[in-house]
Amino acid sequence: MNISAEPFKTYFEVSWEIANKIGGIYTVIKTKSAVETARFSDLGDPYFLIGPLNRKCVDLEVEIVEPQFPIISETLNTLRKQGIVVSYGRWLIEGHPSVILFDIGSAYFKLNEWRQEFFELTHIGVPDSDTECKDVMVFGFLVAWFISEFTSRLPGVPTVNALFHEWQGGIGGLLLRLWHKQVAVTFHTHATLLGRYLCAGNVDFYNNLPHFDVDTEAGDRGIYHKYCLERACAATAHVFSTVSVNTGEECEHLLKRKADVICPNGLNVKEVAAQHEFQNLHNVAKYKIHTFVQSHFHGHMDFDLEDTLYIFSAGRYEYSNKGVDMFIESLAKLNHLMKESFAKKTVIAFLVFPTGTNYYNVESLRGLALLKQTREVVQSIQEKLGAKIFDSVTKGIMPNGDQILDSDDQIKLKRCILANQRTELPPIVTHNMTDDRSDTILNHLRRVKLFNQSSDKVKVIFHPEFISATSPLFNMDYEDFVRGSHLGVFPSYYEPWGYTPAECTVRGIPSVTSNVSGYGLFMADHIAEPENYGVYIVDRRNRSWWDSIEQLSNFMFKFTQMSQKQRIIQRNRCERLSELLSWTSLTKKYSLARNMAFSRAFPDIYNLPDLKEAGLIHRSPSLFFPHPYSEVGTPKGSRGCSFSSTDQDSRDDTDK
Amino acid sequence: MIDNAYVTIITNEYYYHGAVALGISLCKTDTKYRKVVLVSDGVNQELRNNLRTIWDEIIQIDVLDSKDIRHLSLIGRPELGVTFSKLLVWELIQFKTCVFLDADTIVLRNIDELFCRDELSAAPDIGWPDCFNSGVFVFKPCLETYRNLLKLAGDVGSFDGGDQGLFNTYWVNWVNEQDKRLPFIFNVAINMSYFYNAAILKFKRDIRVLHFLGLDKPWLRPCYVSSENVGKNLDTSRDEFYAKWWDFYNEKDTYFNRNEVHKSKTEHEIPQIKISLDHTHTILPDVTIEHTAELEDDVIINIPNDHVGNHEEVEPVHKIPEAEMEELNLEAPIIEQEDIEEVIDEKQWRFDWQRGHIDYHGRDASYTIIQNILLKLK
Repeated sequence: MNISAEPFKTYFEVSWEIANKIGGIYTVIKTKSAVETARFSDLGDPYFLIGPLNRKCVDLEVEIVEPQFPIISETLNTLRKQGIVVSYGRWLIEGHPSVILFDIGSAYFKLNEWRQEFFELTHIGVPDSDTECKDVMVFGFLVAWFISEFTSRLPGVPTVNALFHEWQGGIGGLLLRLWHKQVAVTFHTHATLLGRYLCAGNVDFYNNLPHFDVDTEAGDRGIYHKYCLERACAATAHVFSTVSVNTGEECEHLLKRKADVICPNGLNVKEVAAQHEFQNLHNVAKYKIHTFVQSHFHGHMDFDLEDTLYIFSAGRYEYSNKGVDMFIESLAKLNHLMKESFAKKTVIAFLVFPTGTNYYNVESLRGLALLKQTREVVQSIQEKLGAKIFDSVTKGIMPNGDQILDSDDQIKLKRCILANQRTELPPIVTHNMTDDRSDTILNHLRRVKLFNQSSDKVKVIFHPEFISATSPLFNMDYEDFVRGSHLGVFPSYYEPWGYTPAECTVRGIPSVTSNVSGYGLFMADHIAEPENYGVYIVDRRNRSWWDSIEQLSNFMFKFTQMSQKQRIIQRNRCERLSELLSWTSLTKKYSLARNMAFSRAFPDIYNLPDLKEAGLIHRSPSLFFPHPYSEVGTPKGSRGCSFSSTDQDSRDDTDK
Repeated sequence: MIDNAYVTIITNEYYYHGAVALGISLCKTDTKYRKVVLVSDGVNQELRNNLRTIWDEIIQIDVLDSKDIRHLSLIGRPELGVTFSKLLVWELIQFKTCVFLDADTIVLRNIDELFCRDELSAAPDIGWPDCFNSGVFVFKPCLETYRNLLKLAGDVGSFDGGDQGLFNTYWVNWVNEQDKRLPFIFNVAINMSYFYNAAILKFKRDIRVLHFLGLDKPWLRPCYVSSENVGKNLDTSRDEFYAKWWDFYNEKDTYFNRNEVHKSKTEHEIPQIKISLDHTHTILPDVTIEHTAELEDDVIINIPNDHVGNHEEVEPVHKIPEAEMEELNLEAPIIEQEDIEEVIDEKQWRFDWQRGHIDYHGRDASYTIIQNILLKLK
């Protein structure tokens, strides 16, 4: 089949992280393309992902095949003739999308030529010292070269559409525009470079957004060339999109272009067979966490596991951007509140933030060994006991405690109890840190005196490594860990989207997010009373630091006061929100962006997409979660007044 | 002593800075031998003129490209092109003995004694001391050797993809010949992950040649402006070496200006001559006549007057009265036309970006950049 004869449109999607796992964008594209491939193949439109060739990843994830379309082979061969190494294959993920992967190294001989051309076109240069940027430049030229070769082979009306992710992928789009190629270009950014830097610098970022002197800020931080590249990509694209409203605002002020479309990140929501299956999964996973807690707190198990709540926070080790500072501070406050109110419950807070370590510490491993030993002893006694009771009952004698548990067994059990005793407190960290003394998280925990004392109602465990099934401590993967927990806390200050709370939601686990995270704003926009659905939103924009902490600790305190039944109801509601976060509905935003690009690039040929839909780009009207019908999601005392003003009308409107 | 010469080669502008510093460092050793630099097309005329104020001879070479590789039945291995450029030094048969120095080296003390050595004398490589490092070596130009090396490259190839692998294959016996093993002080490789600090401290004063290996070239690290400025804050010898390089490099303007007048003379003495490459056939026996013609067109070699019989001037030299010339040179060294000035300006501008000197408060303000780009979209 030769597609040039068909009136199909061709869609390219370009990113540095296609079949190249670096960060979050890899996950975004990986999950999204499963849904998109299915849709495009229904339409009959060819759809290709373009990325750099990472041998390690390719060996594992890509099956090299011959291109389905001769025109692609021809184009690839043109490049190959010039010495470019390029692979074509199917990415072995759901949907099996076609991928075109360029070997950056094979084109490095052109770097200087391209760098010069790029400078002549844009007056943006690439410093010799920035290897990443040089790679990105080569990749951009390869992509632009390939797409323009491809486009030139298509006769008739322009039908090529390319979407570029982030500045690392965007140079290609910028070049296509500068070369005046007949391609509709969309630039999609997941964050801004400068925003990340500024936020980490502890400035009141969001309230000062319009006032930053962008050139100075970027220049002084040594990222000026990258900043210019990012801004040029945004400025030249036909359509510019980003992941959330707050990142849109950030772009408007830092990149000086307002986003045309907001395309939030989704997840691939697995439909759980039975309706309450996820509640059972929660229980199973919870028992696994119990096991870990028993070993970690051996000798100090003075609290009841049935009355224990697991709260966690996880993510990249970005102390202030991820709101770890606020989480720890609020935990201290929660500890105080619970002590004051003589709370029956205990909270165990996990902080999962990978950083440099030298393996597990002795205490953790010792606890693990002891627990295993104890379990073996108890099991052997258990078997003996069963036999004895059976024997006694068949003889018609009522078993008596002392007779059954003979002195031998008693001694064994006493030994176990003795071995489990320890005077030192359970450690607050599971690993030997490479830099124990100056670790920010540890020092903060020390400063607020969270040492796992028996009087503490809030215990903390800092796990400086990803949770995985291969780790001896947890023996479960991250997904199950989330399921087994009760509440995820992510009060991030800089979070363009925020996958971590979204991952909680689709598993029916309530979470705390902030009103400066993309996810938080998205949820607030779609749910009348987020709290009742297990989405707590901390105000980090209009409140002071200490007020936000007050709010967060109150959220957590209220949560600890809920009964088990209330928590189950909340989890049920929370799980219903998955629909909102599913790619099935969210990829429509990407389609909108692509169609808009077509209409802007070739106004004579393509019409603007449905304006009604375009006007409502921030909210899909079909999906809106009203005030829940069932009552008492949270206890009486916790019914805050902040959401009571939800007016009846809008509820009725959206409920038909 | 016209028989002997120091030789270096630069195939792109990137190494131009290296050749400047190396040339100045050689001048400072009061060597009695000639200094020859081989440059390829990648180095523009203005830079060549600058080099001419420091080096005695500039010789234009063709980076051996796919064309030649075709002759050598090396299709499909274009990456060897640059490797072959280094082989071209064996073509300098007007000299008896030469010392080759990489453009990323500097000479700290006189090394004229090296000319007493035989081919191929070199210092051990610090990664594999049984091989020599090809950054500094003594050789005797000879077309036979050149041909053999080319043939070896075609037949066997280089085990590291570069010239060093090829040379170590050709002179495989180097490791057993004590008199060809130069002391390490003649090629002290720095800027590697392994750094024997104590030894550096002890033998620092004996070092003759410093070799800045790796990607961390001194000209990419403008922070070491000069050893005088930062002398007290230097943490390691490594910093001191970088500063040393900058000391040489910073003197460039003195050379460029001082030698202006001299330069115009030199240009008469050493006019650019196009000579026919009679020996092409001897080098490449397989070459057809047609191809030879191509080669003739491309190869321009500068040779001093007294070495050339018949010659014709290729580039007419502007005849400007000397007084006027000096004035002009202060601003725009050679060329008067405005558009060419702009090109040079733009080049300088690009270098500034590449070196990380970005004037984001003025010329390079993001608003200007974006507006310019948007204009180009229309």
